[in-house]
Amino acid sequence: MRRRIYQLKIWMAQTAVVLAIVGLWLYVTGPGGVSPLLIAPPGDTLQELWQLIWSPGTWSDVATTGSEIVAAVLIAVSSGFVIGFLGSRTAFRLEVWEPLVALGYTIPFVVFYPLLLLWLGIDEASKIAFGALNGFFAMALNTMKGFKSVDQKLVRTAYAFGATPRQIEWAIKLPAAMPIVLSGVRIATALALITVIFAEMVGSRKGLGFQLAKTTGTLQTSLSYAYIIFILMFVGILHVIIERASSTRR
Amino acid sequence: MSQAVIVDKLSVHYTIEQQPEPIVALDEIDLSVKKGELVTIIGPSGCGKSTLLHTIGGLISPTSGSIHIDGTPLLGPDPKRATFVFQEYTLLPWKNLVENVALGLKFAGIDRASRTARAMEQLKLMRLEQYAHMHPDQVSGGMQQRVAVARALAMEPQLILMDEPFGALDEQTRMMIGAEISRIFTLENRSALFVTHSLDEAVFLADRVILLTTRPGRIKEEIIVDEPRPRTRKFLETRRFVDIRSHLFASLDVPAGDREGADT
Repeated sequence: MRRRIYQLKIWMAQTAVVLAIVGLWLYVTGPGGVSPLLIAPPGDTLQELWQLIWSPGTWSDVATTGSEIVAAVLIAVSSGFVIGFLGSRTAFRLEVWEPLVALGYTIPFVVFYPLLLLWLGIDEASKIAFGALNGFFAMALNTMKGFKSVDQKLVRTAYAFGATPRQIEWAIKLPAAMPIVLSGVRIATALALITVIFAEMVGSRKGLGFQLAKTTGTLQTSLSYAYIIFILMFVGILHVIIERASSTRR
Repeated sequence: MSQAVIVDKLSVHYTIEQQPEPIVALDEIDLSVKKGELVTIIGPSGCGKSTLLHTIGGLISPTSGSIHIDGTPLLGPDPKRATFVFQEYTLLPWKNLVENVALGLKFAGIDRASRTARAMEQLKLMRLEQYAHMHPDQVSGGMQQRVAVARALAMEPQLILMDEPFGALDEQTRMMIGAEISRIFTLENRSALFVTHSLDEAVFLADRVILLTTRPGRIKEEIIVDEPRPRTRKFLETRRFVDIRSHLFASLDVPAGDREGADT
């Protein structure tokens, strides 16, 4: 009972914080006198958001951005897994590959984006490549770490209990590496997702990121706020889907 | 009783870097285990008792000598003839207990229905059937080691090799599980080699205690524990138990300042 009252207090405090932020928003756009070009009023923003949801054009942008993200994630995860797996097969390969991949993970690939635009054009291909590039290293590094950290005691146990080399691979090493590999999937997805949207903002002709950059640039502030909220919901839903799909079943 | 295991002049040498002379871990060990016999191996730490066990089970190739189980030589791991219970908990964390017990049966290609049935039987023997669908991290260390014993028994091997299996457990749990193991091994007439560093455990469980010396690992002494099995805790208080135990303690000849090898 005391526990529930405590929980209720936490919720109330959290609601108060959110209400205070909304209140501040209402104040500065109303009596505060801040220009609606700088900060859009909440009412206008909600109205724009409502129209956005019901406009077919929005959903074609969702399809563009969504398919770019899916393609980028698939490429990052599959190539990262293959390289990570092959790079962890022997101690020698691990010594060669792991520092290189770890180094690659620290590269801010944003500096290469103009080059990608030059090579692949302004449409989907450059967005997919950029997203995949950003996700790849996290996936490859986690896959290597996953296979490296397989408990050798489990491998020895399987060997003692008559496992063939093939069975050791499939029944022991793969499931033992899985939790870390799956955390690689989650990180790679999060990175690919955000970089695809960013890439659309920097240079493209369609997609949610493009719309956000365009509306902000043309001072359609309340519409750009609506896009921000829409993109946050879109990203949130994708995160929930990925989290569900990649959680270890128990 | 016929011989289940015959180990003949078994030697294991190691070479390590920076040292030209090979290290003699085991030197011409002769050893046999009768069918249904439980033999414990005890010795100071680093005497090669685990190496001996792993070599007999086929995990380490001997430098020379041979191992025969059921009359045929053993050249690598053969879980139909000899299975291990390792020192650490080596259950697969992503499998439930009954699947863990069925591990060796799965590798042997036995279909799911019959391997699950056989694994359940072993869990029942260990009185763990109500935990069959739990995962290893949901049960205690003592239960995990009993599951590891069930996994070894499920293969119905001639010989069970136990490498300080209860070393990580507290004394109370260790003696309880020891008594349980003793009961089941007697019931099923299994032969076992049991490595331990606990004198109490060595004497309580064994039909015969083998004492190893350190580097080179040689058999120093064999002591018959002439007491019918299964035994109860009362045996721990008998004159005979105390005598054998103190005799072993003297024989271990632990140098002062290096006593962690033997529990007192």
